[in-house]
Amino acid sequence: MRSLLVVAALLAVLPIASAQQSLFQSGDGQTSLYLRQATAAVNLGDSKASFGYVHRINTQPMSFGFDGYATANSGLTSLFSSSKPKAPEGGFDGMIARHYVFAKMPKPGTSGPAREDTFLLDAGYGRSSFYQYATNATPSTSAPKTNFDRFRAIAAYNFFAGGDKIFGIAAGAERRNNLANLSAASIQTVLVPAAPGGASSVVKTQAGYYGNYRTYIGAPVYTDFLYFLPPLKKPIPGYDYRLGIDLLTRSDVAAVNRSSAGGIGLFLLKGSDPLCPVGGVTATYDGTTIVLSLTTGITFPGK
Amino acid sequence: MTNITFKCVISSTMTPFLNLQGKPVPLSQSGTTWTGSFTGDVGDTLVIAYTVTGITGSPWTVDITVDCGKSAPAKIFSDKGNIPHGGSEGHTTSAKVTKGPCAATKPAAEVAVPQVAEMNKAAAKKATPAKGAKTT
Repeated sequence: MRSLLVVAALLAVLPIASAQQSLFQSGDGQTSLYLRQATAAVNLGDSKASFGYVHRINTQPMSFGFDGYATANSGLTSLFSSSKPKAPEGGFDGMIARHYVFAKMPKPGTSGPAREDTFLLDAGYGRSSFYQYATNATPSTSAPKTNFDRFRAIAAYNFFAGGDKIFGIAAGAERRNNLANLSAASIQTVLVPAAPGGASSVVKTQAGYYGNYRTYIGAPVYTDFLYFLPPLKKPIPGYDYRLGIDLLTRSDVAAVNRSSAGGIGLFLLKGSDPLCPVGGVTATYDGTTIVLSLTTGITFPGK
Repeated sequence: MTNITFKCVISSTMTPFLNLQGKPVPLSQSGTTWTGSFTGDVGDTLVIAYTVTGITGSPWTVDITVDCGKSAPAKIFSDKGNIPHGGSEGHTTSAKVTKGPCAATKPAAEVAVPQVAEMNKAAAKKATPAKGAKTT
């Protein structure tokens, strides 16, 4: 019987689809929520460091931003997953947004149920390098690295209402690869064979992926519904946090790799700034497999 | 006629809006902090209207000061609170602006932040009792 439970922090091997640096994301880095962007962030779960800038003036409907990121090939991820080696990736994203599309911009001095919405376009490029060993090919540690260029364009709509709910939907196109479906592999080449009667030899090891590697154009569709639980009525000294629950779907509607998963996430948020998660756990189910993912990190929100 | 530049800083988890003397003040975002400025001859009263939005229970602050160079800024208005249920809170009020607001300030090293602002705030609220310092 297939394994039904996989514990993973997957970002290293699945698409890095978030242009925003918030830690509101499922373990694969995907999200439809473009919340306030940090100046810099370190995601300990996937060994990803990112920095960015957003230009926004409250009275102007348009804003723009960009960020750069890099992932390392080691980190806490390996504690939670997957013996799969991580493919280091670097890249950048650009974003342009329009605020108060359908929601009415409030008049200063007035109160009432808050509504704020944003429509945005997000485009990005990333490049990763890794070794891959094709099925039935003669393995060799002298095999050249494979480079993968990721391109993506996403349109997203976010709607904030009532002070405790944010809904997001995102759809677009992305050039992807199937590293997540390949097997982790390492090739050993004997440099110094064991001496007669000896037990030790010197080998060169090279980690990579084994299987039929391919690239394809995906059509991701993501949805999120994030609900902020109310703050504690009786504050606990030293505990300045609150919780958020995220109901999410992650789909790829392109025929070449059609898939769909739904799930739930639980995030720990700063009490003084609930849009700044400290970390979270998400669980997704695609019909056959439950994937648990951890997101944690450090953000530098600016001032 | 004397133009005064007011520095405005609002802390809010989502987008805040501010009017001074009935004119919108553009605020630039850096994290939860939104900053802007307003220059004008306001006489002795600054009319302030603001709305803050955010996640219910999250803190917000509004501070309006006048930059006094090497001296500590003169505090004109200050308010703070937590976002109520519904995610939005708005107030309309006014603050008294003394002529030469920097005259009373001392160099930053010596300053104990003037309580004048709190007095101004109280005076302003008192000055507009009918409409209320706080509107919902």
